[in-house]
Amino acid sequence: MGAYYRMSRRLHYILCSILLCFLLSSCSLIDEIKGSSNRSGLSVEEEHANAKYSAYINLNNMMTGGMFDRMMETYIDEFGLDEEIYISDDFSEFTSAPVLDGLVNAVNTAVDRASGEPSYGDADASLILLGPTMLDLIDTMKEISTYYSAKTFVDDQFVKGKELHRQFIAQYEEYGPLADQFFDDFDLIAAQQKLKDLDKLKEQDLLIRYYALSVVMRAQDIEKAFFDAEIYDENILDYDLEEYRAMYDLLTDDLNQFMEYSKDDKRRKKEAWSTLPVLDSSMQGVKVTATDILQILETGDATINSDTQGKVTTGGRNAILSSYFTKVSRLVDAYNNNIKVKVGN
Amino acid sequence: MRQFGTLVLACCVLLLTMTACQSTAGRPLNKDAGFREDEAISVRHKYAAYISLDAYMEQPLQKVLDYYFDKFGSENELVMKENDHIYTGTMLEIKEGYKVKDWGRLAMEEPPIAGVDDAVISLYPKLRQLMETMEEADSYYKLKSYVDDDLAKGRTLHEQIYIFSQEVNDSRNKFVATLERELAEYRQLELEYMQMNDFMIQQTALEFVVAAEDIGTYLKQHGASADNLAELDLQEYKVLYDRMVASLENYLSYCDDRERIKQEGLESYDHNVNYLKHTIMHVKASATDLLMRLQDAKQDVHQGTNKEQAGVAYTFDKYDKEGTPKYYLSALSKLKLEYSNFMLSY
Repeated sequence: MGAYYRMSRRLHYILCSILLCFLLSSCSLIDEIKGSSNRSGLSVEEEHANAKYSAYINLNNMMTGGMFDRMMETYIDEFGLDEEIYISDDFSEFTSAPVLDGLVNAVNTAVDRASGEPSYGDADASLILLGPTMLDLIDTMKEISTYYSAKTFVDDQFVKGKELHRQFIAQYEEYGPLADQFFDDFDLIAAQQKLKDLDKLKEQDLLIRYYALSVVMRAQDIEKAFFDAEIYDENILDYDLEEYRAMYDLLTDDLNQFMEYSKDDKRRKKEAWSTLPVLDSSMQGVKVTATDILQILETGDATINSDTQGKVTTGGRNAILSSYFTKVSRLVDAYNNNIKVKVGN
Repeated sequence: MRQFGTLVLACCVLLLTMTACQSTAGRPLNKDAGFREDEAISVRHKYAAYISLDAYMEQPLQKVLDYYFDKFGSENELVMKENDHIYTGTMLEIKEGYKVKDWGRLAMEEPPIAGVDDAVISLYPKLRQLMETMEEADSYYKLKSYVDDDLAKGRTLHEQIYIFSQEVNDSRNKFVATLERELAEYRQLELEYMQMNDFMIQQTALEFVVAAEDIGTYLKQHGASADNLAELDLQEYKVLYDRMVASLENYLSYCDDRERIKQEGLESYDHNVNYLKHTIMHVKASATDLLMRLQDAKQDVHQGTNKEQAGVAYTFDKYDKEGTPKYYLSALSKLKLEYSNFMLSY
């Protein structure tokens, strides 16, 4: 019973993580393009606002599919979420990525900004509560990493390993609700920011950038719709075809617009835009999988999957939605990287 | 799972290596090897360089030679195994060969280290000759030139490589023996100095390296390999192993202490991505793997021993490389190389 509860909570958490992968704001860039050649054309307030937003996004993405999240996920996958450590019969080693000080810095930077302007209301308060728990978890993970890298569990018969596990679980349980609260609160801020960004881009006739952002948002909308309707790989055929088709069309239209506008040399120059190959390929990836989903819903055949077509598969269940979620999260990363690219004239 | 672990580890090592390279910028040893002209060379610098020469010959060089002789036969005439492809791919590349030039020059510099300098001076031209021939062989096989000349040059190269590698081996043994002797004395002085100055990170790191080398020496003395593990004495190994465990604990209790890092002048060594710590843990884990294999081998010999009595235990299958003496020795070489970098940072 307990195990089921934890499992489902874990699943929920993973899905949440993917959904909550956020976009960087493109504001600072717009101002850079439009503004004078003077790069510090931003007012002090605007600079603070950008820095704060970036710090929050950075932290948020770290917790959702980023380093912090993966660090905990690999640990939980190996040792479980129960208070007592789970050790598999053939356990011989546990390797986690090294816990780098970059994580600590990211937490501290966001916490420092929390009390600064502009106010994010509840999101500030929940971040201030969240920060210390994250730092505790990072410390514990550092110890865990050292303990298992050196295979000390052989020498002390897991004594310290068990202790570290209890400590980790206690901190993780504390972290969970605080993180959820932060996601909820910051989600509002980020949603506002995205819309603001979109408006601003359109208003300034930066249409490549506008459609790039819009594609990512459309892709995330589909993700969210599945999540809200509690549709997963198992019950994908339950989703309403027409509802999906409407979202799919919006995605496809924007994608085509993006392709069209980004072909235009003059426009690219004006918007100081260059499409990184990884953005191209992530967009294609999302599109192909979205089309597969459409066909699955149209034909009622849940085995369609372009990625595995022609490959020898183990004949397991077709995890098309999981694959879609992963691809969207890749797209978000690609987008975030792409808007950081500075194109010289 | 093991494969995945190795992959993750490989990525980490890659990451760490890249960063570790960057961190050497401020050290007396230039990136493309060589001391700065204006830098006085201390005895410590020379020892650090010789430790890396020793490790270098064990790791990249010996690995390539082992591959070569396995493929083309270890006699003075080239012999191909039946049904074997001649093509060698990248297996004959010797990495960072440029470093050899440097060690040769260093041996002529002041201050002298009795015996060791001479051993290096005698070793250097032979080593260089061997490496140049190996490089030639690498291009020859990479370009598949053996198709054009019906392996004629390959046979000549083989004769040379055979002779040169024997010459290098003789000089190398002399070098290693002399270095070990002198280094033991020098380290005694270093340890006293570290203790006097309360340089606990340096001291415990060195103590670990010594403990790790002792296990390496023990394995080599007994000619231990994956096939004859059961012949090793478990108790003897356990004594050396326990000493290593204790010294690891000591090292870990100091190595991340920011105050100490500052006080010991170790700031130029990158403690954010502490590659020394990482290699130390890797060596320790390899020693643990070896212990597991050893226990397992013993149990197979004395059938009927209850495996539960061994406490936490795991086994390896025939595809696993971990836990073999060879794997341990390779991890040890990497530690020596990194320890040499560490020595140059303070």
